[in-house]
Amino acid sequence: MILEELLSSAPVWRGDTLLLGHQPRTLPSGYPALDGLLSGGGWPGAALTELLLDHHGIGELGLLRPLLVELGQAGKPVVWISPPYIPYAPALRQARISLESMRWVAPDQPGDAAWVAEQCLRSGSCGAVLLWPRALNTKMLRRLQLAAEQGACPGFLFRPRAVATQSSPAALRLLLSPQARGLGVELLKCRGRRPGAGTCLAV
Amino acid sequence: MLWLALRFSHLALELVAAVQVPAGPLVVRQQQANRQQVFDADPTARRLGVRRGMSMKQAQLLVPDLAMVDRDEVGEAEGLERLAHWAMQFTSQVVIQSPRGLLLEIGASRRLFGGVTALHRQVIASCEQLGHAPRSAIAPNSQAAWWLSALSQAPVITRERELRTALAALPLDCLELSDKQRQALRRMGLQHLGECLHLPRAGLRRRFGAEWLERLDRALGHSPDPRPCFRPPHRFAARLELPAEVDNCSGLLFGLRRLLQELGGVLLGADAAIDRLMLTLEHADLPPVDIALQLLEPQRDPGYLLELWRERLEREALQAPVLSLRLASVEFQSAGHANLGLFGQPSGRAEGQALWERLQARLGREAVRRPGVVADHRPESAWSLDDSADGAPPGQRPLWLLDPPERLRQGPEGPWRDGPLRLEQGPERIESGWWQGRWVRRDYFIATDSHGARLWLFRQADERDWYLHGRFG
Repeated sequence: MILEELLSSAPVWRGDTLLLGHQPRTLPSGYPALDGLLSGGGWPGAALTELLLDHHGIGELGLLRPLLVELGQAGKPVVWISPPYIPYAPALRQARISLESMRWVAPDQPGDAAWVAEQCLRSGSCGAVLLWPRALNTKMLRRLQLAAEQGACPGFLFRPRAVATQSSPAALRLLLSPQARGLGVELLKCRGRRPGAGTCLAV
Repeated sequence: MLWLALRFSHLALELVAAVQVPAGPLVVRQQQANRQQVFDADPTARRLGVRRGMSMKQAQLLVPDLAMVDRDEVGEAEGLERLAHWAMQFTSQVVIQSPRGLLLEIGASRRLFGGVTALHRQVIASCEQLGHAPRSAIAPNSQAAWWLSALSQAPVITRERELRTALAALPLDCLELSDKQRQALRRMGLQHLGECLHLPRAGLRRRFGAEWLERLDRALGHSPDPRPCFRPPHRFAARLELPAEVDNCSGLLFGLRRLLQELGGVLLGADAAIDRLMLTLEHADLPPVDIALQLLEPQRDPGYLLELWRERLEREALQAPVLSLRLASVEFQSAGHANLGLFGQPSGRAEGQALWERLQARLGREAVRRPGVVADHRPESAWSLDDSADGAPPGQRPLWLLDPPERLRQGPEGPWRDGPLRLEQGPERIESGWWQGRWVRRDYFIATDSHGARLWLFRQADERDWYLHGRFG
């Protein structure tokens, strides 16, 4: 009883309610199990999300598929920056991801990818930005995070699992691993949530 | 009608100063009947006593370290025409008053710019940005405005009935009279125009000719004053000598800003926009280098164009120091006017457009792509960057395509890539393209590798080699 009173009084600040008032927008991931894990019930709408994985093709695009379909229907451009392989149009069509609103940017010079991402995030005219960076330092990450906040645009970075030990300003960091029943997702960092929680999604 | 006259008394000097910043006092000299004389002197030189019309010898005695530039009459005429282009942003009626004046009809556009005073101030401020400091005057007719603009206090006469008083106070030096005529008037004891107005017309006509009397009538508003308007050509080409050799991007942009401002004025005046610009860098020894800028949609805002050029030029490696810039446009296009929302909300589409333009300006046109579907059975030919067909292939396709396919090692029990690959679905036979000489006969399988990634493999029919063609993301 006393504890409850204490908790409901204003000076007590609880970690798990963090930022819920400040985070105006989250985007449903399309996977209820994942939405339950994430604070605000979805992908951060104006911040960076890091997806850490070692091998392409384990279902990392499947994880984003519902979001990409949604954004495509809303006609918002989704920018794919320096993807590792060719985004295959027939398969995207099969997955109902809009080709009209998709932009595939492949800069020749490695340093340009981050610049493109920053421009796209900041412009406020993109639905989402997907970046496969070759190398990113913390300074650049912070710039991208700021740009995402300014442009109120979600940014997804696909990075190797080895960078999990490095700190990052991204609002959300997920470790992805292939599992027998689908894609294993583990929270590495999530504002207002305890790390370590995980789930397995049939993507 | 209301006319704004701009009198660029120091046009020659201002054009020189735009190109080079002089170290000390500067004069523009002119050859006049076998002797070199001062045509125009900058403020420093004037303070030291150098006057227009003084012989060069005398000027050099006064100021030993005097910098001199020869007068370039063709350059002045071009400069004035460029200013006429620029002035088209304020009004559609611009008259070139050779050799150093512009007359702008502002009666029709005064409300657009927030009144005569605001417009006047805006014109002068814009002039100053271009490095010109003209004298100006506003009057109900062009002749009066031109005469009044010789005064330094920038008189503004908006009503007909104030005109006569204002003109009467004009000193005789302001009225385009020959030296002889001015002498004659002065000998008669006349100092101002007002005193002339009291003289009998017949006598004035006899002494100064019918033409001058006609001009007087026009200035007073007694007779109409039709003048041919400046008609701008519908393309832009301008050249700018850089103050010094430039070997970096920011120096180029500094010069380019000026050219783009002129272009912006021209485009605004013509109610036009451009979607392609060509910049030519001129070097001392090497042949000139052309750099093109292609826009997705016609634009005319100089600030925006400058940003695009910044992205474009930062990518350009300069082969040698640049001496001068030339900016040319293709034929202008009519500006598309979009309606803003009632509450001025920006449309997201326009912002997106600006983003792609910025990316393309820096990375090249091919860098921003949009993949599409092509109706072709061969997987590697079933997509393109050009256009998109409807429909999708029947079988399951991977989101990632490898092009060219990666040849796999042969393991003990089938394909191998960091371990054995487990075949899960297949085969799907794809056979096509024989009529194009690229006959494809493949059996496709979906497999899982030891890392858990799902792969798309194929084997040429009648062959043993396995290839990796895609990954299901």
